[in-house]
Formats: sequence, C-alpha cells, structure tokens
Amino acid sequence: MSANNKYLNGIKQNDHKIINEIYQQFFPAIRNFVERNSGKTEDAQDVFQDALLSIFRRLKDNNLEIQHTFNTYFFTVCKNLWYKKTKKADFNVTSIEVVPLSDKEDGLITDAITKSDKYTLFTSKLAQLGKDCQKVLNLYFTKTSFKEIAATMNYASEEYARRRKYLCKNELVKLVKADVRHKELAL
Amino acid sequence: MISEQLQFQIQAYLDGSLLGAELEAFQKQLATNEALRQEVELFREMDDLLGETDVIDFKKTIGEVLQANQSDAKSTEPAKTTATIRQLNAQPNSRRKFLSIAAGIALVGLVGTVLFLNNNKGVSAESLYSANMSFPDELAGGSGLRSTNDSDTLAGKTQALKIAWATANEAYQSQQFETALAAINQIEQLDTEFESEIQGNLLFKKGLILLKLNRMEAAIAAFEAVKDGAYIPNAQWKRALVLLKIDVNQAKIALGEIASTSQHPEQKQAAIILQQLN
Repeated sequence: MSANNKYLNGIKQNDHKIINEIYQQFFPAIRNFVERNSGKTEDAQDVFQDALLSIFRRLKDNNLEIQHTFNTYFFTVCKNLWYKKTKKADFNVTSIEVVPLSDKEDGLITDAITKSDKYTLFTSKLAQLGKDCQKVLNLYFTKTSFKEIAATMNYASEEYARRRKYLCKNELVKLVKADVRHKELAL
Repeated sequence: MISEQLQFQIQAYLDGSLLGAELEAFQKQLATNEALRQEVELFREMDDLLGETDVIDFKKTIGEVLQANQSDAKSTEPAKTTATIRQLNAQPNSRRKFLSIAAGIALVGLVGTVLFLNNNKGVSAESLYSANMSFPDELAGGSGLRSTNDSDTLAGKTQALKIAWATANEAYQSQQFETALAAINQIEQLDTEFESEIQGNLLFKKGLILLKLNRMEAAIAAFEAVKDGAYIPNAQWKRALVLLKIDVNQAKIALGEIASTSQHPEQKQAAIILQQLN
C-alpha cells in the first residue's frame, strides 16, 4: 500500500496508530514552520488538527484527490491554514517543498476551518446551558427519538420532550448570537 | 428579529413535524423572508455540526495523540532557551544587547496585557444574565406541606393547597405563566399557618414565574422577601442575576456580597461574573 493510501485510509478510519505516525513524521516540520512565522507550539497543534480535520471531512464526502505525496500535500494545507490564520503575505518559507493549491482546494480548506470554528463556538455555548438542557440536546443531536428522550429524561410525554428540546435549542441559539464570534463567522 | 414562536416553527420544520397549512404558510414565508432563511440555516447548521459524531470522535483521537506527544514538544524548549542565552553571552556588547532585548520583551508583554484586557472587558451584563440564569423544569412544592393536624378544616385546606400547587406546576410546565402566578397567589393566601420553609419555597417560585413574565422588579421583591434559611442562597443568587438586567451597579454589590460569603453555593461563580464585569 502506498504511503498516500496508508495515511488517507488511516485518517478516514480514525486509526489512532496512523494519526500518531502522521504526527511523528510531520509535526516537527509544521511546528518549525509555524514558529519561524510568528507562531507558538499551540498554534502549530491547532494547524495540525485543523489540517487533519479538513482532510477527514473531504474524505467523508469523497471529495479528495492528491496529485503529490501526502507529505507535500499535508504541509501545503498546513501552510495555507497558517496563512489564513495570520493573514500574512510574506513568509519565511522553509526548505520543504510546497505546491500551490487551486482556488477550489483553497476554498475547501477555508470551509473546513470555518466549520471547525463554528463547532467550537456551538459547543462552548452548549456547555453554558443548564445540565438538563445539555443532556436533552446531546440526546437530540445524536439522533435519539423524542420518545427515547422522554424515557431517558423521565418526562411525562414525547410532546413534552419535544417542547423541552425546542426551548433548550432556542436558548442555545440565543447564546450563540450574543457571542462576538457569531458575526465574525458570518452565521 | 425572529420571535420565539417562529423559532419553535423553525425547529418543527427541520424535524419534519410541521404539516399541512402551517407548513405551507411557513414555506411561503421562507421564500420571501431573508432573515428567516438565515435563521433556519443557523438552526440546521447547529444540528449538522453538533451531530457529526464521527468528526467528534476524530477530534478526540487527534487530541489524544497531541496530548501523548506533548512532552516531546516541551523537551525542546529549554534547549532552545539555553542556546539563545549562550549565543547572547558570546557576542561583544552582549550586556547592551541583552538589555535591549529584555526591554523589547517587556514592551511586548505590556502591549499584550493591554490588548488582552481590552479584548476581555466589555462582556455585557445582559449576556452574563443569559449565560447564568436557569429555571427548573417544574415547580416542586406541594409535597412540602407539613401540617400534622388532622382536623377537617385543615384537611380541606391541605387539599386546596395540593390542588393549587399541582395547578401552578402544570401551568408552569406548559408555559402558561399568568395561570401559574394566579395559582401561586392563591397558595400565598391559603398558606398562612404553615412552616416558614413553605413560605421561602413559595416566594422563590413566585420570583421565577415573575421572571418568566418579564416582571423584573416584582421578581426581585419576591426574592428579597425570602426569609427562611434553605432558600436564601438561591434567592440571593437569582436576585443578583436579575439586577444584571436592570441595574449593573446594584448587581455588582449583590454579587460582591455572594462572592465574599464562604459556603455560598454560588460564591465562585459570583466572583467570575464580577471579574467579567470589571
């Protein structure tokens, strides 16, 4: 199996061993790149995570084709991510080969970052709700039926469970809209 | 602005329970109302992103890998710092260079602190209220009747109280807050001979219902009237939160009192809110 396939299959299957191998192989170079361009180790970790997530989402949607080695592609994605985060035009480029990405590819990476940021916002606000609301909404988001939600939460009826979910979701939306990130993410 | 009722419709639309004429009317609105379409998109996106269990699991795996390898990242930092210091010491005029670098770092630190403080102040009192206020799912209270007198009159009153609590509770759960308030007021008139603990419970629940009816001052008065020990901390907390909406200075005083009361269940949270307000 080629290295490309090994890494891509490992990512798609959420294989802990392969993700760790990717970390061992590529993270030092990514960290070096980020730190040489005004970032810190934590930023490099964010870039590493976001790059992997964008690849995972693309693989999920069967929307990924790599023309070069995984090494080159992954590092290019990371570079583009860091560029977007810092909006710098002038980088101190390392010796690692980097190929430009198409507009489409670039757009897809941007979408992946935006989704990641939105998810972070939503989960942070979900954590601010009351415990019951968190439980109801988590059950709902994991596709639990209202009948099962009513049974789990000890509600009198399915209708009551639906109403509780509606109220809790409204509360969550209110919290999201009150956050400055809501406008920044053009939600 | 999208009303709460319309948000309920959005959710019913998204989970497929909006039907017939109601669905048709909603779809007509969607076709012409951009704000409504954006709201639907927000609700839908939330469902999609928070329901992506495979992405959530994948993020967890990455987190575990990063954490397991964290010591690897940390072990390189001291070496870099030592190398930098060695380099500085080896150069001519190293002291001057060191001082100018130190001054630069101090300046960056100062600017960073100012920026950090600027970014973190100005959390609105309104959003702090929303983030911290919570309401119970139901009004428990009827079971607190403790009279042991078995006389007919008292049995009749006990029964009337139980009915009134049940009415208040059902109305509260159905969002019929005016009805709930009327039932609570009835209880208040009946409940003149029972233990004060019932009184504290009653006034606290009355405060909550008044909040639901957006009658802030009346809610504050109800919380302030709670005299029995068991309900005082809760009433103080709610009062402080409500003050965030109508008088931030008074809210700060109330939160300050809670933050300085050891054993108060909300002592820590009150301190956090005060920090965010300042």
